[in-house]
Amino acid sequence: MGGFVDGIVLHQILQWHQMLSAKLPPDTLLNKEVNMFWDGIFHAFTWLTTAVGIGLLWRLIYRRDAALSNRIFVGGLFFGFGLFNVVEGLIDHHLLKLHNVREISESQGLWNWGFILVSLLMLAGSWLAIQKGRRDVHRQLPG
Amino acid sequence: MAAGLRFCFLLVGLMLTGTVAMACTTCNPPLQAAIFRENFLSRFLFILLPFVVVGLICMRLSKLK
Repeated sequence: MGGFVDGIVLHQILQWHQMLSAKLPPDTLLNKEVNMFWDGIFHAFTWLTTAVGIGLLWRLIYRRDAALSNRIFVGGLFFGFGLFNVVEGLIDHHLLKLHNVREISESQGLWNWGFILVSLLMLAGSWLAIQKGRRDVHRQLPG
Repeated sequence: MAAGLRFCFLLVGLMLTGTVAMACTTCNPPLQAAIFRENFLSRFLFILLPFVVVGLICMRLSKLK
């Protein structure tokens, strides 16, 4: 989910950055097209990851000990969202410097660290939600 | 000839001859040359890297009780 929000909202709708926009500024049609190609590769990996996640979730439903709870499900979605953003932010924005969150800005670093901070808050909130969901499920179990 | 008609001819002419404007990876040789360079594999692995790291973290987390 995090990858799709990044790719669809930040790459395509707002066009704040593209996959290689720090290395290859999309200021010519050719550079824009090359960035578009790598955006597509990013989306393809995101799509495959989502498909694997759906497969694992489907398999989990058949387990007798699976803790099926709305809180765990929503918490899990946002945990994955936050986790992906933190990892992607650290690797792509800070380590490899492939792009910045907001390429055309006087404070690119602030945007990059803000992205990590918001993602960490999402990670912490969703982790708490999952733990609460697990406690609720265990409380409802007979015996 | 009306200005509008001349503009239409110019536009059609540009569309038929303008190869640079073709946003099509499989039919645009300059775009292919810009994508499939010596750094293609490293860029591919760079983009794959966050997914691999997230996968490894998820595998580790799934082992937690």
